[in-house]
Amino acid sequence: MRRISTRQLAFMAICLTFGLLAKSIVSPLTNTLTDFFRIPGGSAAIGFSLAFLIIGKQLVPLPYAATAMGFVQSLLALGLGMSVYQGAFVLITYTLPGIVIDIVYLFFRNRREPFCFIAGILSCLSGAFASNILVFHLSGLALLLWLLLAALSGAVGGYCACLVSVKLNDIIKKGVLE
Amino acid sequence: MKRFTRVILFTIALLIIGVVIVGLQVRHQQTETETAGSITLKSGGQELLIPVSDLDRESFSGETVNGKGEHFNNDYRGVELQTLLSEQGLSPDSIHEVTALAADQYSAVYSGDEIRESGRIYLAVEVNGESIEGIEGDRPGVQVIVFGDPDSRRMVRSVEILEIK
Repeated sequence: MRRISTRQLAFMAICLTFGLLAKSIVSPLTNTLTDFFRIPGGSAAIGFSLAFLIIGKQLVPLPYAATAMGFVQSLLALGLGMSVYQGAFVLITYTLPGIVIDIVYLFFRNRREPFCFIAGILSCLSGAFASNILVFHLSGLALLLWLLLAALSGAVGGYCACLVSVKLNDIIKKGVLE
Repeated sequence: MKRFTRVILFTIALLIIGVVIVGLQVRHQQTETETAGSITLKSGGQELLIPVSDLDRESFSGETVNGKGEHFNNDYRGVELQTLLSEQGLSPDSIHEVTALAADQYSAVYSGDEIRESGRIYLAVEVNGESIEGIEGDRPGVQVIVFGDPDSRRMVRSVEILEIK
């Protein structure tokens, strides 16, 4: 297994923290939408959190980077009481999207746009699906709406991650963090 | 604009349209449920909304007693409570008691044995061909019918919540 440098760890920490912060900042806005439809909040905001994991994965392209960031995010969310409804299940619902991002990266290693976009959608869908099975138990149209919002959030988050990645191109391409 | 960026924006646009269409459909469904009235099943921290229209399943009849001790033979439409609970994945064997809470906060408790007894406790939405009215009279109501019980106070009207323990 490749050793991970302190600089890489620092960037991963920054990305996962920004991810948690982004979710907290965006949630009040997205909750107005989910409240209107009377479905649980969260699925519409998750993409903005996972966008930072996607950026972090490109900055630190280690095989387990996104999984590790997702797992640490889940511990932080649990420790800081950010998981009111999900409780200990956040360990699964936050880590699973990280695993998905790592898997998608295997297939789109050198293609930034498809990676960001597809990883955004699939990771959000996996998180939303896991939350529904473990906690919310939505069904029918409400479940479809919940998943559509997650996919939309993931698509927008993935696109944003792609735009940010372009700005960070030098760091990614030159492998400053390798 | 690069080709893949166009694909991304097109997909986002499609997802937005999907969210709007399904969202409006969900909202419409919820409004219909509210207008038609509904009861809430509470069990183990979970809540489930059941439209009153879903309770209109079968006809049943039997003798009931009112507060003055008068006996009546009525024809009802509704559903047996143990059938409804079974459909929601609640095995009657595992139920200790069920509390029916009315819109005016009046409540009555039914034991697990009563619920398991076939043909004893029903939720009625219609009596002798007429809808059972809610407390305010503007929405259909639900009444608990307990056959063979001389205590008419347990036949709660305008049931809003069924709490299962």
